[in-house]
Amino acid sequence: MQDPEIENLLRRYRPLPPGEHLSGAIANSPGHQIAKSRKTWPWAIAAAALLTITLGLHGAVVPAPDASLAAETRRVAAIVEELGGAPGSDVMAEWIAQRERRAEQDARAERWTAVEMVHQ
Amino acid sequence: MTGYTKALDWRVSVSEEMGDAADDDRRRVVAGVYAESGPRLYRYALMILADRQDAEDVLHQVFAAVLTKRTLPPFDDEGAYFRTAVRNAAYSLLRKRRTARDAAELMLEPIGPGCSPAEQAALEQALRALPPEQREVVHLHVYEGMTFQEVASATAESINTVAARYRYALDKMRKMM
Repeated sequence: MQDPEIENLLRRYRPLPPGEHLSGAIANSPGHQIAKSRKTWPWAIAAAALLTITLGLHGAVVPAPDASLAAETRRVAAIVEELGGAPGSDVMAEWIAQRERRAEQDARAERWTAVEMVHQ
Repeated sequence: MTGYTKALDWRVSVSEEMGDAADDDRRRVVAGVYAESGPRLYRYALMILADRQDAEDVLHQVFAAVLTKRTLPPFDDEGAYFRTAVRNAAYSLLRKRRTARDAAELMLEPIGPGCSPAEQAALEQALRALPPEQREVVHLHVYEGMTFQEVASATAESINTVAARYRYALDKMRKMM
């Protein structure tokens, strides 16, 4: 059998066509994978978790507003009022408030020193 | 507009809508793309794999993968794109395949007068005995009418390799028949 004969033999046949069900199977399958993509949700969950962790860390690291600063401002205002609100009294009031705060810190330090001496 | 270009447009609308209308569009467009190139691609996969179920699996896999992609690289020849996708999927399946296929399952159908069951059986046996690469060259050259140069482009092989595979295939078939 020569090559042309084999080729003619091949051409009297051809590969079988696909079954009729394959068209329906192909038409039906891809849409579910698009409309109900399962790949989206893990990323969304991961993004939400990352955001939560970031916000939590931010809250833990950034300090809250200093409460003592507000208290000192109120104390300065009270002293200014006691001084009669004359010009320059705000400078005097701030100086007095600073002296009071240092005196409190010194007194607190002395108390801690006394306590430590008692324990020793 | 070709079926595949429609499919690209359709994917954009699906990603925007995700609704029932997009689902209907999807069914229509997928059916159009399959009608245009599905049977030809199936026959190509069948000749590489020599198994009808595996050929269906490959086609299913290729169409599902292409039509669910959100973005695709630009390409000019959609026929070549699908043929390459089917080829890659078929050879990938061949590498994973561990069990021998049923040789009694038919792979061919007669298309002209003078065919006999005995002749068809002998031809099928001879084709099944070929390596997939040689069956592929026989298919592209004989059944798709491609020149050796076109087969070389489609398979990313040299024209000498393609011609040699065709030569070996016919020699082996001649000895078997």
